[in-house]
Amino acid sequence: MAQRDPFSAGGGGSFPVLSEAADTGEARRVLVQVQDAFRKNDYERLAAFYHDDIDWIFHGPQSIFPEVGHRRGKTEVLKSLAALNALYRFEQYDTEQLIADNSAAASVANVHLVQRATGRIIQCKIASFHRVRDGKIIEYRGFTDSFDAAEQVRGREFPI
Amino acid sequence: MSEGGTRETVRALFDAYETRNFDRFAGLIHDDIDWVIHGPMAVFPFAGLRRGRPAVLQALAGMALTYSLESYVPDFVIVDSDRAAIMADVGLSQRATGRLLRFRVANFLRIEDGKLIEFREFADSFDQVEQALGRVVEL
Repeated sequence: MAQRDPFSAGGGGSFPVLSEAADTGEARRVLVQVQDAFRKNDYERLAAFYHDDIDWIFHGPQSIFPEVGHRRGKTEVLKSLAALNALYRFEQYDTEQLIADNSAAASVANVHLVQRATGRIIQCKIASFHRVRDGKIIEYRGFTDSFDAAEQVRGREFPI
Repeated sequence: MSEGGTRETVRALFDAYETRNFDRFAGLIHDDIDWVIHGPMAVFPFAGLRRGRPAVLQALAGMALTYSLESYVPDFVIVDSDRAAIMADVGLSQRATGRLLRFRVANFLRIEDGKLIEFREFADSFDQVEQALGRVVEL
């Protein structure tokens, strides 16, 4: 099989083409809604935008953030988000940039979290990639400067 | 800028990067570039904010002194007007030890006048640090 050119229109590569029927702008509309729900801590609304079969990864150290990592299925993702919410309160989620095509969207957001146990404020940027199918997120990949975030969570610099 | 123009510039940038064609890559960097690789400068001195083409080229030269690029495989590319977002699997070889670092990166680019004017890179920097040091970080 010929290798798909990831730079051709529609992206691709190892990511499956998930929705040929997705209308132009669907991914952007979904992401704007999801980010608004996230910003308002509206987890019920947020849940409605996750596909039952979502494949979700937030890249970070499990030793500091056991709530992140690889999750499969809406139930597991919602459990992770609930666990995060129990430890941190999202104070700010400002979208710095949003890039979208028909069925995929990526964003960078400035995020402020409050660690409930200490009141410590953690500031970070979160980069996110989403695939959308049938108006719901079927695939998510999240990134942050996890070393910096981990130091903020522990409240000290790590010896290196 | 059109999406087609953005896509072609992005493709040219990553072709030049992947083939280690430094001069061609340098020619696609805007004089007024705003560049950030998010990560700890104590471990990766080439990370952090760089403004202007000379500063970016200096950072890249610094990276090349300590690491050689083994692979850069993009598998998710979104182009939207003058911006692009890319996810890729990267392999870097640490020259001093021969250690191979493997990680996934998220790159966000903005193109102006056919050149890269804004660049942001994100990765699981905690994992990158442990791979670079060859040991776990003491918590």
